[in-house]
Amino acid sequence: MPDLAKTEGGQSLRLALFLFSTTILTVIVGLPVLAIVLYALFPHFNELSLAEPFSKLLPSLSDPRLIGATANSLRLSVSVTVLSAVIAVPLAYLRARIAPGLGKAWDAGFLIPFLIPPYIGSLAWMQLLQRNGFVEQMLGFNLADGLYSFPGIATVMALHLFPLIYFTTSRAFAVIGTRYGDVAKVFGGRPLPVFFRISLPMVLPALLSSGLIVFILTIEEFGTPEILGRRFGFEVMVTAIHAKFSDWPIDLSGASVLCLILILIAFIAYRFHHKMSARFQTAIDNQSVDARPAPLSPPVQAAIFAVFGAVFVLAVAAPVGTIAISACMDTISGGVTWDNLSFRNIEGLFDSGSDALGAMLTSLTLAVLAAVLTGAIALVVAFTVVRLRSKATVFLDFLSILPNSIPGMAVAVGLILTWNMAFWPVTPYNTAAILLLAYLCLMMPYPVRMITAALRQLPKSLDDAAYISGAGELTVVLRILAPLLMPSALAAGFIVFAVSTRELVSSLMLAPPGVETVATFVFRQFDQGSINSAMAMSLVTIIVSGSIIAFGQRLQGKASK
Amino acid sequence: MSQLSLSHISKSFGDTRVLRDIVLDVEDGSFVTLLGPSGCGKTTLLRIVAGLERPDEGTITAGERIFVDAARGVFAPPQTRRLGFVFQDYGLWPHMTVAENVAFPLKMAKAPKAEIDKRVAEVLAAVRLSDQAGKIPEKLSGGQKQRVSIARALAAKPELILFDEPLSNLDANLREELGQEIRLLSKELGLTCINVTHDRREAQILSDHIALMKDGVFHQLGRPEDLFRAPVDLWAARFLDAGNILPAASVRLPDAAPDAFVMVPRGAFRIDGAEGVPAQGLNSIFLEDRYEVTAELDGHIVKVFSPRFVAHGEPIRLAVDPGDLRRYAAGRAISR
Repeated sequence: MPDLAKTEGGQSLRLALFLFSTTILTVIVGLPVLAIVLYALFPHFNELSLAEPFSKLLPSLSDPRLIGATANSLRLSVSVTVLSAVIAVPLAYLRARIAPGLGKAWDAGFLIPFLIPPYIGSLAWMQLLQRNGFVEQMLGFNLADGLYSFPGIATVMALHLFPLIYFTTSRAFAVIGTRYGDVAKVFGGRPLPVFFRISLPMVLPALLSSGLIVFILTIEEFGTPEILGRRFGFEVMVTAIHAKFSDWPIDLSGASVLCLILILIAFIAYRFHHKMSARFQTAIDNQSVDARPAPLSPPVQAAIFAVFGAVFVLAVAAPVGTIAISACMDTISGGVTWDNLSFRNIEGLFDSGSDALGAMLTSLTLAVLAAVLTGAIALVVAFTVVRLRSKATVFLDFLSILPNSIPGMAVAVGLILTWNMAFWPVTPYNTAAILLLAYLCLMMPYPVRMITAALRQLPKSLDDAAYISGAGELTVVLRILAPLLMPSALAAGFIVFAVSTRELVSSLMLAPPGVETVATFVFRQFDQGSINSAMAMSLVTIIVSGSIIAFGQRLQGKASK
Repeated sequence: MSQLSLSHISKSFGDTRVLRDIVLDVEDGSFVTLLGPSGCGKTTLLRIVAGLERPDEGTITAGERIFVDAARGVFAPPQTRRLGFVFQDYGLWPHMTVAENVAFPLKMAKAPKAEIDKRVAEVLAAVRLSDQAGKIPEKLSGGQKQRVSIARALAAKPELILFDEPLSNLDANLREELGQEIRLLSKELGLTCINVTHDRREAQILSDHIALMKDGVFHQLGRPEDLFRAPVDLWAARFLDAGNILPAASVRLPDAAPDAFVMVPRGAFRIDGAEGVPAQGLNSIFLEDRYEVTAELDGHIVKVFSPRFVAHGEPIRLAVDPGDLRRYAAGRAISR
């Protein structure tokens, strides 16, 4: 960091901030990743020995179980991505051609899957399609065999993730589709060639970049493959890692090899996504949406409505309805009848001293702490990265965004490997503090990205003007920058809070005995057959975290105006 | 008297030397403009004076005070230099009102509340913005924002005010008007000012002295009229757009060397004389009291002030007195 000392107006505070943020991020993000790498390469690292390096790497890599899980992960992620695109692209294309009011209504509907944590969605599908599930009760047949199969998992995940592709590509179609499409029509293009030669190639970068996000989210996902896949012996990388920790003998270095592969795949996909979205940004630069498409005939409108409606029923109405109804059923065996419905389960969650209330309090506390701490750390990191802009801050920038491409499972494993070491005088392992560490690591990119973006918008002259007016470093940060960044920090805080309250995989891996979070509560209750209370908790989570995410997004929209 | 002195200032960014051995004395109460194309180092020099950048070599003193002495490792950070700065993009804090923006330097100087209020009212009156004190900057027009920025720079009564292209974000009319205002204010208050710009018109409006910069050094230094009447070489003549640059032969100079050029100011040509070089009118634009005629002379495009309209394609004769033109050989000016 040689050039830091020379940074202008450059004083000790800058160095202090830089050292502070680098240290914090190294502990939160750097150590877990480092631990994974070291364990993968040196199987005896837990004895602080570098003996037999690489001795586990090759056997692990040729382990048929690992190869099978990796192949399954890739197969599943590719299938989900393709299936999501198949659902999303036609909808996105049609979206630009229907009445704007109706389009906005469908958009709002397709936001709902974002609010349902995927493991809860899978539980809902089970309730719906399993033997004697809701479908069988109402229609007399079940689709359990279909659900517990590779196509079943892929469909459930695609129905949950396709909105990501839908929103990105429909925006792309809106910006370029009609505009360039009209130009092509003026030069004699017919609809089908125009779609394939003009619209599709131009939205391709947007499609690929959002598709890669779907790919990453699928390969990171634990809940759905665990819940549905377990029932027909389907194992992916994330569930295999979980098994290596829960089945005796515990295989730390095997788990870290798997984690390393997982991180590499996610990292490469993420880099690729970044390139693609940058390319899309430049491709559509300075284009405005002006032309409105010609109105469609009523039968065509009806057909489009039916397509949107069908997807809405499958992706939104079915799972949400199932969750709501199950949450309100007194007994599952009582079936879907009026006498069997009440709010008793939901009220039961709030009984004093209940496990549910304890889990909610734990999640609430952790989420508030995660929101406040990530926000504060992100403020310092953003200031250091954006305003100091030295070579030394490149590493900091990298660390702060790295968790984007680290799956929750890998973070959990990394934290276990790190804090399990014998030489720490104190360790957060086996206390609730390790959950906080995991949330900090996983959530860090949200506030860093939002606050960094906001800070980049603030011209440097605002700082310079304050220095020249006689303000010192601290005054500039506290009186000029902090008030201006507050709206973005607040918005990020709400999102971190909401996402933390529903985080499953690291909570499941790291929660010490006796500590439950909302997500682990739902997961365990379902495992033990208390489906109603699991669903009641799910409903509360969806409503609470959903409305907070929506609120945070609104705040962010206002802040970035 | 606290004359600002820069001596032997040099600065590099990586391998690029942006400033080389700059020496400049700014007299008390004078307005100096650093004029040059982008990348000539003028903004870096201004930021070095402000303390926002640190020079690699050289010293800057303001009277008894030492701003920088690179050899001795002395560097006064910007907050201690007691100067004003007016930014190209205004640099107004969007979360503070106009009055709060202006009051900030006074608060930093820990002035008593009553004095702050009085001084804020004073400077806002000086820039004719008293009625906007309670507004936030976003609600103001570009010209008003720049006035607030000027008021803030004046607030703590600094002896030196630095301007970074203060007029370049404004449209042409406003630019002229605000430029005159800045000039007047600086004279009334006896301020020492340094301005940076790439725009020769802005330099003309504001400056007592202009330092024309090229590639990190002072290319020519002088009063505006010296620079525009006698550019030191063809580059300066072109950059300043001081007149028409032509091969000496094309205006029939008898003693012209083959590589000799002349610069003929637009007003030096006489049109409609019996003698002179034949030319052809291309275009006439009406200015307030005359026409600016574009004409073709010997394959060169020239601009000439003319009392009358010249039609497209009209044959004319252009005459020039040898005393009115500047001669250049091998790119450099030669004295008459």
